[in-house]
Amino acid sequence: MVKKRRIVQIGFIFFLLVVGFLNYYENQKLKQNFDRFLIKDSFFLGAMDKVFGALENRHEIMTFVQGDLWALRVGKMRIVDPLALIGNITRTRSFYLPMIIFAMIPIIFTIIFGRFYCGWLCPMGLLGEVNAKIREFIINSNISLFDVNLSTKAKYYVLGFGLFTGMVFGVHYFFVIYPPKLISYEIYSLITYGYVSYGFFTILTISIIEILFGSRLWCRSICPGGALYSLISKIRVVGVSNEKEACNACGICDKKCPHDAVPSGAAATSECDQCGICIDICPKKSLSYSKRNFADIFNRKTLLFFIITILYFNASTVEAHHVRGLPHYAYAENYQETATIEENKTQGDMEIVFSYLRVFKSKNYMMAVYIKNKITDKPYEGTVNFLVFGRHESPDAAHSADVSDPMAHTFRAGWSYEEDGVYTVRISFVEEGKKYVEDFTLQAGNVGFNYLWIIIPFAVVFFLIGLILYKRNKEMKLGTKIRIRS
Amino acid sequence: MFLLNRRRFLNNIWQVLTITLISFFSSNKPSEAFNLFASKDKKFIVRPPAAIAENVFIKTCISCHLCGQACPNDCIKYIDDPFSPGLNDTPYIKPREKGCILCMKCTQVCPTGALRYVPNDEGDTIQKYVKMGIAVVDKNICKSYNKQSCGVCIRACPFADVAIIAETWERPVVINEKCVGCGLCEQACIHFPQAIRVKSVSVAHG
Repeated sequence: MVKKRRIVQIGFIFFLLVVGFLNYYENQKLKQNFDRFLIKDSFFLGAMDKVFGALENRHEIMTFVQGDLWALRVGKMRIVDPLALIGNITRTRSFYLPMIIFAMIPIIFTIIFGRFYCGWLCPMGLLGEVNAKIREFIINSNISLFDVNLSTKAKYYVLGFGLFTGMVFGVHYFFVIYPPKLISYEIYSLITYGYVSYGFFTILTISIIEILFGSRLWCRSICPGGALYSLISKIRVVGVSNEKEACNACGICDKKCPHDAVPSGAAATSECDQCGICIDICPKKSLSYSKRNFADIFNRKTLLFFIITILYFNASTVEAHHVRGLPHYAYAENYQETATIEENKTQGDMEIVFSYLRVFKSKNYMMAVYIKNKITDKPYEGTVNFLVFGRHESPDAAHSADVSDPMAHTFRAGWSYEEDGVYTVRISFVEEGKKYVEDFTLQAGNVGFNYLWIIIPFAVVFFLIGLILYKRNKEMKLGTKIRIRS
Repeated sequence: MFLLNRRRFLNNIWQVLTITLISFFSSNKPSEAFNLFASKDKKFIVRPPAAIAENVFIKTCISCHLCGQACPNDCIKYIDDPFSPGLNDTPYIKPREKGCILCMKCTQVCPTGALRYVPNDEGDTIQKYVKMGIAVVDKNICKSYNKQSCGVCIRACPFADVAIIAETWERPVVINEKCVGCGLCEQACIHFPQAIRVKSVSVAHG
């Protein structure tokens, strides 16, 4: 059973990759601007273009599946994670009927098959098992690690607190920490944009914590989605059950179960994620998936409802696809660079707007300053001094220019840089006898990586280590006291 | 002395829960007073078309990124700021980089109702549902108001002669009631900093 499950898990990640690549190709194909040449330049996209490019209804095929595990679109039907639904209801305090129906599909699957999503589909389940293997390997090579036994009930508090904050503050933290959403979106973002966002660092933190503190810690006792699924799967139809005749109560399955689901009882508890480890390991083969008795009626009705919802939402209308754009003589087509970076600052009555653009990937920058009086709405007409200096230079450096005679009330100055980095642009002018000086930042070339993203995961890990050491120290002190008393 | 034994603790929790539940069911509208994180940043953000009111939008959106993936123009971006929890990962449009082409794809895939469902992309339907903002012309720096003639924004507008009217020397005049705030004019503006830009409805009227 574990082998089958592994195939499904890896296949599911492969499915996410394929969806990402197809959407990436389609996005590139639809580009109207200068980046449309990317297909010709790239070997992979070029090969895809030769296969799919001539298809008649290419767009419908390429974008048949879109989205991530938080919200997936298949054809005209959408599937939403139940955690998103319940979080949304508490945040908005209202019910949006289509979304409830979109979330019904995973809920009905959970009612039928229990927490199968956690064990069979969720990428975090696979990652958790990999982490457990790494942890086992480290322990086997005689390196001692922490051993934390968090209760399985902890995840209900994580879920409940998130819903509470959603209800009171209108904000919950589920989509910052919920791994399947983060992983699947990171895959998409890595393929389409070529970079990862904060989700990658959350996953990194979770992985380090799982390796250092305990195997399957996240899925067993922290994940809010897992909490919701195991709440729903209390009324599941199919589950692991034990035929008492063959069982000799050896207790191997209870020890090996990563979710403390006690499969040796008549039926496993709702914590069970149907992973099948216990079925494989049982020496007497007394464990199996089987239908639970009380739910005979449940089964047929839910399936019927599921089919009806699919039919209903495949019948709704979506328009044909087309792309419109700007007139051919507009800015984006003729001039590939558009000044998109802008900074507004106000000093007294004067509002200063500073923007800049890089001229065609060269080392030259074009800076523009527009100054106006906020109250009278009159532009400033006089002389403006530009002074540019980097972090490694003193403000008295020679890159200075006076600009007068503005065109359409905009003062412009060109500047070329030698080193990549963050530069300061100091703009000064005199209006009605008062001197105004204002600093703006200019990012030239590759500015670098924000090291906060590395510091945060390690800060969390060190905090947890400190907490555990403190607790252990306290327990030792208590132990000595008890010994003295006895 | 304040003693917190188990029974009293549970009692307190019960009280807090009942109060929150009562407030939850008594008011159907989200209360402004508790909205701490959301009201932190009052800067105007251009949302995708047919978005509901901003304070409800940030609560309704589940940041599933379906709108961005459905957008054929790649103009929907996501706020990348994990330290402002209400706003993080919600969709927005930066018109200067890429304006909205009003194809209404994103409204048709949104699972939450944060973007209202718009059945088609005809002019009347768009006028009925969409109000992302209003374009405001800065006459100080607009070329047509400064002894030159340009008129790119009028050509770029999908509602040309309805939402933007060309005066003498192709001077653009925005009709506030008809402008939907797609931002194609702001993207097309050949002057930098841009002389026409999308602003919130209150700013444009006041």
